[in-house]
Amino acid sequence: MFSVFLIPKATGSRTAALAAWGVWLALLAGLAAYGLFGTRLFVLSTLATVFMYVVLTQAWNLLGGYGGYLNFGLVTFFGIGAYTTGILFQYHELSPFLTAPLAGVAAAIAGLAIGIPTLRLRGAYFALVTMIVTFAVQILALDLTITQGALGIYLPALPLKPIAVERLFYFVFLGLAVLVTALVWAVEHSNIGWALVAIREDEDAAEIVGVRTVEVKWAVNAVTCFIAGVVGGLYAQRIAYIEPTGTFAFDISLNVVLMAVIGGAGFWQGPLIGAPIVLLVADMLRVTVTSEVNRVIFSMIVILIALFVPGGVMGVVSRWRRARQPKPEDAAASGLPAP
Amino acid sequence: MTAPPLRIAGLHAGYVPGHPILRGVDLVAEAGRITVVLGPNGAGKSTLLKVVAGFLAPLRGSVMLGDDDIGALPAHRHVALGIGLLPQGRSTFPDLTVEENIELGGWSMRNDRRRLAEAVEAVLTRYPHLRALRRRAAGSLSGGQQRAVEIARMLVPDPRVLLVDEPSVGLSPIVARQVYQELQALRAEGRTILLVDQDVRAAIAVADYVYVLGSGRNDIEGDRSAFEGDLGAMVRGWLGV
Repeated sequence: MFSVFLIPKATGSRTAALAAWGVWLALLAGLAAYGLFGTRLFVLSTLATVFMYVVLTQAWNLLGGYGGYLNFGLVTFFGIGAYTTGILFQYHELSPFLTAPLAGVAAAIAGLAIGIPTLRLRGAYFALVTMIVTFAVQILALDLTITQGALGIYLPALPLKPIAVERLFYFVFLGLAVLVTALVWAVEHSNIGWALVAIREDEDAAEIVGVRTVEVKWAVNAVTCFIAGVVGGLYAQRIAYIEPTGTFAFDISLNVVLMAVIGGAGFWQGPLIGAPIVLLVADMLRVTVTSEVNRVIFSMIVILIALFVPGGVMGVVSRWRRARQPKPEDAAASGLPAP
Repeated sequence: MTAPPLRIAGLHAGYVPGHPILRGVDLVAEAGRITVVLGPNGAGKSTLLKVVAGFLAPLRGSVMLGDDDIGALPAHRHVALGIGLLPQGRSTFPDLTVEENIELGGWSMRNDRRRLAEAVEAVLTRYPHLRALRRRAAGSLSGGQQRAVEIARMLVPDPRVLLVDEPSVGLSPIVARQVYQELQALRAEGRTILLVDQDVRAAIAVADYVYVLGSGRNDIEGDRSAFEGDLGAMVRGWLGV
């Protein structure tokens, strides 16, 4: 399934591609160095959150960016992951670091159960249902005994100094961000990537050419939910307390969508660009504009980007690259033999 | 290779339980012939093609391709059986290039890149104008050019049975003539063609056999010669004027 499907084409200079990879690798090395030697708690903590959002946004990007399925409910699976590790600690005293994969499995199962009926819907109907599911699951977490309702679940703080805890999660989320980005890159260059793009472009046409559209969507959605669940499980350990309102906060889903859209949905680079922009701009506004006006300013920035930078940053880069390619020979005829 | 015939018997289908659109349609599309389905709006022509293409499950009746019952098969399995569909309206992948569109037509050959490359090359040789357009986004092309891309994409896996839904909608008369001429060329290659159309005159001009549906049932049928007379009277009859 992961073989490259389309016939390879020369897509630009090899030197430029190598230079781009060099920049990404240098950035990664710089971030790793800062994680090892940086001493500012605030910076380590903010960057760890950026990496966490990179992972979530890359996961969303699979079906949302490549497949065109606008999911406003990713936090549902993030929350299911957080509660899985929380409950496993509460009742079996298992460390969330050990149970994070199980959190992913629980979220993937929930993703399949929810995705099998909802992924037959398209467009705005699908987006709406994903939002409704989030609110329903949040209410369930408030009402169930096992989740301890509004009281939430406390997890043990790690026996480390605060800066060591942040350094630990800095590397955990940085490592996950690298892994998941590599996965998304592999998907983009695989049959599944082309199947998703075909679904985004015209789902009926994709079915006509032979793509098993429904199964592809189910499988990719399960992978997305697995990743969100793992991140949720680790997040529970990081903040050491989970409760329904914060863990299933719609803001998390919204942030993920904004990060993908601003960075460039459907590009593996998009979340790497979008996550820091959204988080850092929001944080800067929070610090500099103390009243709720900061939310208004942030919303206006998002609207302006949506209006003037369609396709996000990577959309602009992609159009610029296309414009640099030599113009193809034009043909006025239909392409069919003349009568 | 001779294409298998397509046989539809007692077909019932619809979108709302208890309200079938098709109420017992019988039809045979023979190999190497263009079989045309005509009828007024609401007669069930497009519903018929949706069932045959696998987008709508029949309520009753059978859709046989040779000896295989394909009535319950989803659309994505039709390519492997040698069935191609040219749907009504635009169906290109608009943001992808012409080349990518055509290559995606060979999805069923995705694990055999050499075979895929040969099939794509054969299609580009057949439609040389598309070679010049191959780097263009399909969505940026004219309506006629996009139709050509759709036909090329359909032909990559070399289907023996073609399902064609109103191929001239939105096209200029000249391009529409080219499309019908291409259907004739495809018939000459021995393919089975089932054509559903609103353009009565153009469809009858290329037809070997014609079925007319009315209210989801077979109304009249016959060879092209039986329909070449007063087309105006037929259309007036449909409209009830």
